[in-house]
Amino acid sequence: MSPPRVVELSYTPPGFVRDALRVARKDLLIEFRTRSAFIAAAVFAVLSTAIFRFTWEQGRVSPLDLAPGVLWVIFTFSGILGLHRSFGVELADRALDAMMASPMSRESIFAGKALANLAFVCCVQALALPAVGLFFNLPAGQFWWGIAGVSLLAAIGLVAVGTLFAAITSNTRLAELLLPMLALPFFIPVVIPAAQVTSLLMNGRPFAETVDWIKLLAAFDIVFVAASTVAFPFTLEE
Amino acid sequence: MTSSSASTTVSDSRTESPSAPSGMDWFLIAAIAGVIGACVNVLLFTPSELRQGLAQKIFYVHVPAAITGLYFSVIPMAIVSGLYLWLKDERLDRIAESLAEVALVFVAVVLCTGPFWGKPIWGTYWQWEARLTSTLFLSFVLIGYMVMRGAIEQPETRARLSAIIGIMAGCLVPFIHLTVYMFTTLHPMPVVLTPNFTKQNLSPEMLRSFLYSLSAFLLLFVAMARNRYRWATERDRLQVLEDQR
Amino acid sequence: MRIELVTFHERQDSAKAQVVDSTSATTGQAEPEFRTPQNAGYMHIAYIVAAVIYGSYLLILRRRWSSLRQRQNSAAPSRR
Repeated sequence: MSPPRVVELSYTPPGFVRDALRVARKDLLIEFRTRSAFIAAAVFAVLSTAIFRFTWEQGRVSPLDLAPGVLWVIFTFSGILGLHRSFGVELADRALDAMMASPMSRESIFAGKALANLAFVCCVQALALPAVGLFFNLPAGQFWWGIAGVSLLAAIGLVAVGTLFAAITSNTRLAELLLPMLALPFFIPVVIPAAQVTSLLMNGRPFAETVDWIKLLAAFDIVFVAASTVAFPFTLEE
Repeated sequence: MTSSSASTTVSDSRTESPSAPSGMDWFLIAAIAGVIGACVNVLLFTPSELRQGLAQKIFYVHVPAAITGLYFSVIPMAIVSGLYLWLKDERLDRIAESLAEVALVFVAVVLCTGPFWGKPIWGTYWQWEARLTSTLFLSFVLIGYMVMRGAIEQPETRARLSAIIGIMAGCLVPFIHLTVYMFTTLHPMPVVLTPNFTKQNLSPEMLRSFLYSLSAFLLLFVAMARNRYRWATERDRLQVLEDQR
Repeated sequence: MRIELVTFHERQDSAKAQVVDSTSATTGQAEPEFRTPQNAGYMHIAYIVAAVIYGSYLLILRRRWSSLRQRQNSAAPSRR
């Protein structure tokens, strides 16, 4: 009797980047189909900008003084809106256990989720930046590229820490309270340099003045990304 | 695994002398007496500072509490949390829990006594200055730590997740200090009097009183943490007994 | 730690001369009171606040021990 034909299934060996991208793609697909968190974050961003705009005394306070703070408040809190969802979505059907049982490494699960969150935060930032610029009649100029760059750099740090804390709090009772409560003190060392750079750039200061803050921001990013990646496997039960 | 380590702690607390049935913790009482003695020494036997007057005496409570609560709690807590993740010994988790709670008490004292020193000296109750901001954020982290511990019921999960927060807090605090320190040097604050500037101007009697205060508060911290740890041990032992019934 | 504090002092000392003048200008508050008698009130309040915080925590510890003893007595009276 001839041996049964073996059907070759396509098999890609596990690889960190490939797995991370796979997880990120899954998360982003889910988010794209439901769009719930993104809409919530977008509405929050536009609404807060509007509120800050209408409570702003135009003669007394220059928009260049107010806008950096408004921008970073919006970035920080809309980021949190997306973070809770990143592990909340796995709670149904215990999908996280399935991911842990797969040959993917824990670190690549973390990287994938963080990448998805980063894409989410960047989309919100892409919406909020023009909104703030429009609402506050900010001048156009080269500095917007600098602000976009520092926003991306800060988003990396925020997302690294935020994803870790989302993983920690997702299974607890008071998850929606705990995530902002735990994450916000850790956001501060990222937001302070970023807001300083934003303020300096908006006020037309030369790039050289911002270099110290950018170095500090990059240092925090490295520390937070490394610490979160190392700590993440411990958040998952054996 | 939990039950075997619980039985380890049960036998440990049988071999070590338990607190007496009347509940007297003599070490804690001695530490409290030491702190009272230090305060009496400061209030009655230490000279006042010329410019600041009597308000300067707040320094003898505020600064030791700050040094103890910031430096002697967070770093040990981070180390103990790391050790827990490595060794999985639940006693380490109890130590971390006790350190965090007592640290929160000391940080509360720092944050509440500081403004009363700031108002007569700086003219304002609060400044977004390096040490104040670091202390405030540390209190947020500690509060978050305690709230999270209360929200998780399974001991192993609670210990594991708390340990992660403990380690992250240990990474965070020196960096916050660095950030805000940079913030004050890049944008120098007009008011630069800090709680520590008087250390250079301390006369020998003041320095002696300060060191006495510092050691008294350190001892109080250790005594409180020890008492809290022993309570946690008894509580967990009782929990195991109740679960077995 | 000690070295770091001294460095911080040196920075502050060089700016100390400007302290008194710039305080009111920046904070808009009244000149800080350096007169001795007025500051006694602040000292009293601070010490009382510290005593209240420590005392409350010690009371909490004591209450925890007594409720633990109660639970122990009700859980396993034969062991006591």
